[in-house]
Amino acid sequence: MFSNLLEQLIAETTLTSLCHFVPELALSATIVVLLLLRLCWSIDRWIPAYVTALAGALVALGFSGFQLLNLLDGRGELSSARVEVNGGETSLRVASDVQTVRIVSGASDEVAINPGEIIVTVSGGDGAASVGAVLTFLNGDAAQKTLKESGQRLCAVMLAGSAETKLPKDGISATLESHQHFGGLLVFDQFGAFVRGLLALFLVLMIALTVLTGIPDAEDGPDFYTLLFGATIGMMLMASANHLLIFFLGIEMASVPSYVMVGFLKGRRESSEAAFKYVVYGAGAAGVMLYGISLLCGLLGTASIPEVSVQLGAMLSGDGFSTAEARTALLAVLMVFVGLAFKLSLVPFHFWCPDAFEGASAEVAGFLSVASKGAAFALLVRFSLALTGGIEVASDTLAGVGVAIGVIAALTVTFGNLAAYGQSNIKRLLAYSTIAHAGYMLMAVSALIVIQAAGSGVAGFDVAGNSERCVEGLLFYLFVYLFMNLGAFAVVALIRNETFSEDIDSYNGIGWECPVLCSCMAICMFSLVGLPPFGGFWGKLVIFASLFQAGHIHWFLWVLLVIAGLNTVFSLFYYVRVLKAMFIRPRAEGARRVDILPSMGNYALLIAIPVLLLGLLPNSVTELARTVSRALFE
Amino acid sequence: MDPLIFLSLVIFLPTLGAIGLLAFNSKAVDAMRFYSLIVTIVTLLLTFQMWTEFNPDIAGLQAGGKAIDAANPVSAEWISGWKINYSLGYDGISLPLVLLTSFISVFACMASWSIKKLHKGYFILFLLLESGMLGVFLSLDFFLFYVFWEVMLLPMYFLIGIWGGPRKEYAAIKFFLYTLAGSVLMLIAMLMFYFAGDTFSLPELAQLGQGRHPSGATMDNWSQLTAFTLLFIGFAIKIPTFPFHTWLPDAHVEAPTPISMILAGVLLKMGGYGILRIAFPLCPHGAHVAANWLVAIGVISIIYGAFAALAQTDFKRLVAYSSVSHMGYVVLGMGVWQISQDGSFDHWSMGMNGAMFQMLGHGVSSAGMFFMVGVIYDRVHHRDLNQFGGLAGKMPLYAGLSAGLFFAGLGLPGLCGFIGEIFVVLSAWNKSAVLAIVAAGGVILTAGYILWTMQRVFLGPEYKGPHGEEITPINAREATVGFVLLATAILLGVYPSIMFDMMRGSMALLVESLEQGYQVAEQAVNGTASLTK
Amino acid sequence: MTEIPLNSVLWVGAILFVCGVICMTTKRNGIGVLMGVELVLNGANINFVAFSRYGKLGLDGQVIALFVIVLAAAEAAVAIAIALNFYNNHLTIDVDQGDTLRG
Repeated sequence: MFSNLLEQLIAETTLTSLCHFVPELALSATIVVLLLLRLCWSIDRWIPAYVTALAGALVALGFSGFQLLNLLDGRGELSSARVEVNGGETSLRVASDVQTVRIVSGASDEVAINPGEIIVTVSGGDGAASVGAVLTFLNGDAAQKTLKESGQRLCAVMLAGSAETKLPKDGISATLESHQHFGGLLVFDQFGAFVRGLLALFLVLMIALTVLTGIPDAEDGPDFYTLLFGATIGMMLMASANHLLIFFLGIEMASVPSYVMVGFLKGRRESSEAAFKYVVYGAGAAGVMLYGISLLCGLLGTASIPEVSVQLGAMLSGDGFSTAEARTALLAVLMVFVGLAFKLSLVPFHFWCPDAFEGASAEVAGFLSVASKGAAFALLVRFSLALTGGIEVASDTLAGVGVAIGVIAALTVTFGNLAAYGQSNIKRLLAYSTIAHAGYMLMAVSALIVIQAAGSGVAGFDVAGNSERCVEGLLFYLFVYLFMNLGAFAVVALIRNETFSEDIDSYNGIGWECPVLCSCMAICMFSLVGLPPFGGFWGKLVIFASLFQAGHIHWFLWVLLVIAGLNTVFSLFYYVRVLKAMFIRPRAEGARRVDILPSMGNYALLIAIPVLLLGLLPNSVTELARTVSRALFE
Repeated sequence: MDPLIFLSLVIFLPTLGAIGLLAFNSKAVDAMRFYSLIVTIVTLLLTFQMWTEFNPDIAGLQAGGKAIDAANPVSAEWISGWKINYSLGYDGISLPLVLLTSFISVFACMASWSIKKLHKGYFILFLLLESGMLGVFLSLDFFLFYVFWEVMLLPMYFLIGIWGGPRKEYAAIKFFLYTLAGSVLMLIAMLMFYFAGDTFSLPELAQLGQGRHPSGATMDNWSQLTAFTLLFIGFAIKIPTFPFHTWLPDAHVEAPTPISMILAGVLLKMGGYGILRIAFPLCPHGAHVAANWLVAIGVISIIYGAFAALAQTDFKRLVAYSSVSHMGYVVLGMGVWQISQDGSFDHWSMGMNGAMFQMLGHGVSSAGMFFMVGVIYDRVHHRDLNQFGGLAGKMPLYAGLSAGLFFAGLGLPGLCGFIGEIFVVLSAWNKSAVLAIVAAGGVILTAGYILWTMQRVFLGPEYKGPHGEEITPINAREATVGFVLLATAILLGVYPSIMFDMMRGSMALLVESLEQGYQVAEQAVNGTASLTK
Repeated sequence: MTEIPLNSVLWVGAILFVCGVICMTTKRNGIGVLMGVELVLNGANINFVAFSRYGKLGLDGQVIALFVIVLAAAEAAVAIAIALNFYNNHLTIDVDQGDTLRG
């Protein structure tokens, strides 16, 4: 019996599940190699750790990019049916190597999907007639088809080659199955693949930065990269979480190495203090979150996120659950949000952020500010969709939850921007800017929850389209945030290596000594404000647009829009203060001349040029974000 | 040449020039100066080419001599998922402003000889600024317009902040913050329009606002009023009108001379252009409701600016406040929405045409005035009016040219300032006689402060201020700028048809479509069938 | 033997949680704070096991509890290492003494 079990396990994991998680595996393998190289014959004296790290990260990036492209094309097991409604016409696009189109009418819950097949569910209208209409259309195609009819189901319509077939708009929808792996613990879909690709890209750029700035030194190299990779694996797990256990484990796996990385510069007093505060806060928040998860799991009787969604929907509509249980469940959800709010440094759980950033080295601060936010937002989106996915009618309770999150977002943005005014240390300023940007991104989530919760209650409101726009805005913002924040921190790190200072006053007049670096800083700063023609503007525009649309459901989101706009204007002042010091103030007397190597300037350009390109030509990335977000709603 | 490519070349030639500047050695100052001057002159020639291609019989948007419509869309897809296109084009309203931009840029470039440090950065930012300005006037897509509008702010901040006067940092950030606040309001209005009409194209949005969109969609009156208010505040900050004008004196005073010329000559006109191109056509009902407010704000700006100018002792600050006052005429002219006794739009058209011409005339005359202030500031390094005097004796040619340009600012008949002012005041008479008299009173105040300034600066027996020995007669470069600007002012003053012929058709179309749009909106509220979506 | 009702077990878990939170917030000794964290995590563990035994959670709860134990151990190890580093630099384990960085 064991051998059967073992065979089944191996077959299931190696053939399907592991293939989908190759990037994480690549990162794990790199960790093992790093440690082996150190243990065995001290090879790391000849091969620096960053070589191994860079190789592993590039492999992971390659695989995750490859997987994302596969998913988008619809190759592989994932079906690719996308039904577009275009002014009254429905069209079905089929990928080139999909062999079978299965048209099913009626209920389709028990339909299993086979590789190379897509399912078209026909619902509404006269089922048989609709299917017949579909077939009539398909029959007209030059490709060869076979029909088999059995009862209510028509199966196996084969289309060879790529075909764009026009179908009548008679209630046709397509289901897009995403694969759950490892017993439902992890999910592999386009959204997760996109965030994973983002994290892998960030990892590569991060390692390149550490090579340029020389933190860590040779003997700490393997340790540092191990921690970095471990944190990234945790973040990738967060992006693919489908089970509350992975929810918790992913957050912890991302956080624990971060605690150590913050305190990595062992000798500095500020580092050790920052790490200590961070670990205490973090562990506490994680504990509270775990308790909330335990209550939620127990009350709903399941730990799998899709089922949590269903059970929550049942609970809100009142059947099978008492009000006491409902109240406890709400408390549990709040506690879970506490954990996420800590990770995202939202007010009032943001206290660790400025200290951690100031104590950590600039590279680690950059890593924390981008990667952990990105993964946490992915997780928050999944969790929010789970919260609101199970309801059938508009729920005011959940809309209230969305508005509450909006209030937190408004507080976070305003606090982050106002507190940044008084800062004289650039890393603290960027920490508060990180807090503010987390607030902007949270606004998109708040709009998403409100739209999902109560959108169906407003007549003529396109729930799916507007929800997709929210997620599209969030994903684009994350993408450009990666570059612009990393650029800012990279410049800080590179200048710190020359001036040994992180005070804004020490930047006076630097702009004319290293113009390339400071122009890149200018690009990143203006993008962080949200000015065209940089990418940050487009990200803010999409988020503003989603807030505007969600405002039709609840007026508070229009207030949020105004607050966001005002804060954009407020934030200008302190970002420009940095540039003012760099370009307008004269260099202090007797200050050390700053010499930046061309490689450093090239790296800064490598980060800053995408910010400019994303602002001038956002179309491809925004379309990608849109496509990816569609996967969440189907 | 394909009109899209030609217009893109007009917009982006200065940017290409700026990129070319990167290759220059930082010490080759004269080479960079002449190179930038050549780039601006070539851009000017390209805009002259546009002028020759302009077909005055086409009242609507055109490019390359042919009208822009479904058969000839001068646009390329940009962000297709959001229906944002890269659309360019011009008509009788934007072409004169494009010509003004390139014209003033040439002379601002010539004035840039007075910049003393970090020339490479200066000229790169200057050329980028020119690209931004041309883009604003030529873009027909709201998003593209917004991008160019904001893109201008970045070089302006640095140009004021690095090469400016003693309080440059304060002035620069104030300018940036004010304009950005206005832009954010404009952004919200832009989103309102996008979601109402599912497009960013300005001609289509105009159809939407005026109730003649092919799909039958309209903007309801409340939305129109909100959108108009948001847009108007955004543009009013730029014009600037009272009470959003407080950034102007600081920015103008602290900016270096060439930047002041561009600021006064071109940037302020963008506010007026925005109202004509966006706020009015897209929200006719809102505009109608707000028309009286526009008139009031215009008159207050005229009088306030004039009184404030009277009180100034700083030469440049005086000219700055005179800009506030003159731009008040623009707002007044645009607000006189009133059908005349005989049921035609003649007076309103006259007001609009006058407002437009005032923009052009003020562009030339204020650029000239700022340049003249800059000439003397370069020599004596102060602008205190009470310490000037007797300059006519030491710098006769300069005094003569300045007199001419200041008279143009005053509105002396025969010079450019008169035409705009008289048309606006006459059209205001039709709307409200009292306000017209008050506006005319502004002319008297203007005469007051300008003549008094000229007396303090040029007349008198001797110069009593500091650095008297530095006062040398005007040199050839400065004289050229002065001559050409004065000649233009005279040309516009005696032969205004050169501009009026261009703008008449488009203005008439605008006025008619606004009134029709308002009628449609009124019918929707009071009439039978509801057209709103 | 009478069955222990679900609520009693949940109360135990809740008491542990509250004790842990009080410990985290009021202890000045850094190690004490970490002990509080452990209490909180174990309170959650009791909840998991209880729901697994009495509720509809099934085997998931017990598996989760095992994972949490492992994770708590790892986190404690890291946290104590960081506390040791803090002690090396500041010569005290008092959390209130860390005030170089303005909160």
